Amino acid sequence: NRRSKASSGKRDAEADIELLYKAVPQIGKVFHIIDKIGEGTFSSVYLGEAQMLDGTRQKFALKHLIPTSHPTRIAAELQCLTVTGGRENVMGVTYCFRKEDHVVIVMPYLEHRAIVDIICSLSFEEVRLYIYNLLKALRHVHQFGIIHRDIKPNNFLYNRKTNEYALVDFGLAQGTADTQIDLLKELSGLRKLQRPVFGERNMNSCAQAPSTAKASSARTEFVKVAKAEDPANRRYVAGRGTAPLRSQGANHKPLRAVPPSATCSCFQTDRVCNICLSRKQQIAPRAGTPGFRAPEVLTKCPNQGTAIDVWSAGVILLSLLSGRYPFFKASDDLIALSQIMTIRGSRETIQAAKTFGKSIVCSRELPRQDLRVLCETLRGRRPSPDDNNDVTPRPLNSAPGKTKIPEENPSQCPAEQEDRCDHTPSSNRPDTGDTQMVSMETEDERGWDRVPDEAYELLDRLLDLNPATRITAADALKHPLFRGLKQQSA
Amino acid sequence: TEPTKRIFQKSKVGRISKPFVKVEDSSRHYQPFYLSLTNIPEFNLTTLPPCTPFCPEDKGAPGNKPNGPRGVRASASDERLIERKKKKQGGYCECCLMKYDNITAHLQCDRHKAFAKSDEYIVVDKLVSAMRVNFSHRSKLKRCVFSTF
Ligand SMILES: Nc1ncnc2c1ncn2[C@@H]1O[C@H](COP(=O)(O)OP(=O)(O)O)[C@@H](O)[C@H]1O
Ligand SMILES: [Mg+2]
Ligand SMILES: [Mg+2]
Ligand SMILES: [Zn+2]
Ligand SMILES: [Zn+2]
Repeated sequence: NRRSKASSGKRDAEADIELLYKAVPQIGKVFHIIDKIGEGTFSSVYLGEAQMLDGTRQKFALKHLIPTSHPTRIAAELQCLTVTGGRENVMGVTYCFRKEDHVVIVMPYLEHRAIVDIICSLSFEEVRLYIYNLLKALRHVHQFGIIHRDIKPNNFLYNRKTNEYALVDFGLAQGTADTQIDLLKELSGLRKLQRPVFGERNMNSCAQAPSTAKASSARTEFVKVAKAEDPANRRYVAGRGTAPLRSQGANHKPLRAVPPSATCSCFQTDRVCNICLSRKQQIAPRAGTPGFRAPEVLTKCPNQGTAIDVWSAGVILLSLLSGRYPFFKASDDLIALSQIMTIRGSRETIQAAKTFGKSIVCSRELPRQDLRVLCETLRGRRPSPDDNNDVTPRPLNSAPGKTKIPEENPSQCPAEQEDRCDHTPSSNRPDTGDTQMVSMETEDERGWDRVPDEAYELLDRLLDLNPATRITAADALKHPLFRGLKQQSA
Repeated sequence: TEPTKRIFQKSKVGRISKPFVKVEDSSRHYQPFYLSLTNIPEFNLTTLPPCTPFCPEDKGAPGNKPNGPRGVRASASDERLIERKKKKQGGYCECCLMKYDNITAHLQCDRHKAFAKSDEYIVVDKLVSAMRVNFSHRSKLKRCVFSTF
């Protein structure tokens, strides 16, 4: 029942607003909070209005961080915004309120719509500009040695009418080794302090393999304090494998002496045994959203850099070119990895993973897809291979994975209607040839009939499975796809 | 939904049932992790835009997760809502370095309250002290510049 859900949602929002006024009384002295506009695992975001000294009223986004956030984490997020924000498509910060453990970050409000609501009505030119502007934001934050770690449309606000863009949400950001953001450095230093907490045997507390493993674990323990959208991530990074077996085997000191590799032959096979399963889990940063995680993140590569954000930008471009959001949908890293393999090829993925020290075994070979064919088919511009054999048009409702039931509410305002996604692959379309023609025509008007090869070429470079050769944001901005767009200084 | 598969996976040692994906660090110093899927994900070209081309059924029972009731579908959306709310209640406090089941209760416990009033937040305050803005007070005629708070 939609109506009751909506009203209970509203009631919840009102209650939350009251709680916020109470928790941080200064807020009420300055802002009239109009609505709650976002709720994640680690924050709630409100729309507020304030009277300015010059007499104008301005709108702000108020991000109330979960009070269980570590102050250094909060400060790092704030510092990312203050140092990099307000230019190059990165959200600026106006002010910050704190009362005890309650912190509210005040930012200029950028009105925007969820990508899923507009994806089908975007023109190719809008997509080109969107990606260009996203890459600009990435180039900028990467220059400061910031790895954002959570690049996805929800964190890249887009106002289609005003052509404004803003990267938000440094809540999961990490510094590169040479980051210019002091507090990101401090944050990664914190892992040592926090280590005892995570003392749950299965983390890094057992046998440390010699040399390389030691070095890499030092870099990676941090993940345990890293935030993630998924509460499970925050609890313990390596969600997998606190298995019964583990609790028996975890503290086996003898493993320390014997090089684990010498004692089992499961490597690169379809087998696992008590020996390999009783080794400690490798810890690597994996904050973020599964469908946007790069292969090196999904495979727990301990050395991760700004290239992980570029991968996520590639996933967004794939999404926009194919008209599908989300593109990858996985609750699990290995599901996400296998979805990547279905697009980029299993052999290619395995090959690339070797370069960053990971062995992947996939029981089935998955061929690499041609990106143009894939995107055009998913847009319904090409018949899908199934169509040839499938004479019976599939009814809309029985299509796998369907979401929208068309026109359930015909009395919607025209503006919203216009944005609705009404082009569907031919096999799913109810038999209304006319509409299809019209829809395809409007698609053509929006430029989807002449997507240049450069778009798919750039996509291929962003979705390079190997982070070492993956294009950087700075280089991507110089890509021929963006010819003609004003190159502003970096 | 295949009991034999389940049991097999609980025992864990041996051959991983197909189809599967397995990842291991080349150093061989770490535990491999793997996933047996009911199906290898396939994108479905006949799904409707704008949704994902991957079928939701792609989930499988994870290889390394013990008694995970994965693949068990939350039948009623209500149940899921409640579950989500419950989940949101619980979490990990980075300040107290401990897990909690109920955030409201945790925020009121002595340990957390002590942290909240501690000097730990100086790092935040220092950044804030460098900011200047021109809000004016809502209620009063008096106007003030903000960092005077
Ligand atoms: N400055 C802003 N203007 C408008 N909306 C914003 C702004 N900042 C955040 N939001 C909205 O709030 C949502 C959550 O904010 P975000 O910073 O991403 O928090 P979280 O860490 O909880 O994801 C965003 O996806 C966006 O919709
Ligand atoms: Mg966010
Ligand atoms: Mg966040
Ligand atoms: Zn083994
Ligand atoms: Zn606490």
